[in-house]
Amino acid sequence: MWGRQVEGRTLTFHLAGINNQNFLMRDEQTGSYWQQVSGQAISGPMKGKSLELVHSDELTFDLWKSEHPDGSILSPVTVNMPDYAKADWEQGLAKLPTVIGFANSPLPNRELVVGVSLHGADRAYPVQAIQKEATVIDQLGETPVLIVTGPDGKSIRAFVRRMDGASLEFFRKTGEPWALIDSATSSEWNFQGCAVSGPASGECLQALDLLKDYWFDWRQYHPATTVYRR
Amino acid sequence: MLKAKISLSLWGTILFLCTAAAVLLVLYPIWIIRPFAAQHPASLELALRFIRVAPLVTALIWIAGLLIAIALWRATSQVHSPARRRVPARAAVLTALVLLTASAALARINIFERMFNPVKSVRFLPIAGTVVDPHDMVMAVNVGGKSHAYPIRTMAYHHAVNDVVGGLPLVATY
Repeated sequence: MWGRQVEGRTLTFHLAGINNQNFLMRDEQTGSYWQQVSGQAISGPMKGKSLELVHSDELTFDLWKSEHPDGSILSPVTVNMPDYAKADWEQGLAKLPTVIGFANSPLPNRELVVGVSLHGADRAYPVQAIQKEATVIDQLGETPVLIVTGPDGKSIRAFVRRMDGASLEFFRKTGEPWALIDSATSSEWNFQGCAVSGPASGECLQALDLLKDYWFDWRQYHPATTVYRR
Repeated sequence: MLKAKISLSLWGTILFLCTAAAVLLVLYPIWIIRPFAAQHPASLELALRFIRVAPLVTALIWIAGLLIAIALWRATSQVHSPARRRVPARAAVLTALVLLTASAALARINIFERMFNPVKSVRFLPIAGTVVDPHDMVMAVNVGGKSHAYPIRTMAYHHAVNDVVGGLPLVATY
């Protein structure tokens, strides 16, 4: 999700090409070409400029709805609906060949990862590994990181696990409803990263930008990336 | 007679080069930016340069080509050349015109938006009015108290949606 304002101009983007299986978009206003995954202009008058990342989530519809009952959802274009991805489209996509690969790669090319970038440090977390662990407690550079799968078992969010300058550890509370408990105050936290009961009530963790991507694409744009627990 | 012969071969060659240039401008990017092939930075850079200049350059070449074609057509009239020369010469001129026209037209088409149509008028529905599978993934953004969700299965087709959320212009990409 990218901001569309660059140097005071609002740009309008069109799908316009592909670069090693990541798409290129062209802006109407300057005719520059932008890489979708990096938000960088790679050709044209805006070459070298970057779009600003807008924080976004990838959630199940149910979970999003529960958090934003007054939200709005993109209307489908009726004539294109027969061409929309089917429910099982991800399995089909996972089988497609890739056109780039890396020597001694720690992960298969089409392994789904979520990537975190913080102050120049990049790390890929395989989605399968995250979903197996109740909470992922990690440290990326100077930053203590929490990655957690939501109550739906599918949605993933990442936070800076720090409150008042001190690092916290988080555990999943057993039973329902879904909650996290922190090691310092034993407060209960929801999936939005906010304490809902206990001494920390009202506190919210800083959310981190996550990029859900295939390993080969993440690796291509983050050549120095590390992989969680590898 | 001699004069007509010289200009025929000279202008015939120029028309051929014009046609080759226009076709190359359009076909090279299609060849480089094809799916399921690796793109290398240098050739991609050149291909995108071609795409950017192609609409103007193919139009200019088309005008020049048309003028040359008219001149050649006249030069190969019955008065100037026998049928055994006239027929293949005129066939070549017509072929060049067809290729030039096709190149100029193709340079104006976004093939990717032909394959995956863009959302021309972006509209949003309240949750009550939608039929999205509860377990389907959506991309979601919150700005200035407004929350917009983009179903992944819709985004996997359109790929890019230009939107404004809470006053912030953004593009949702997948």
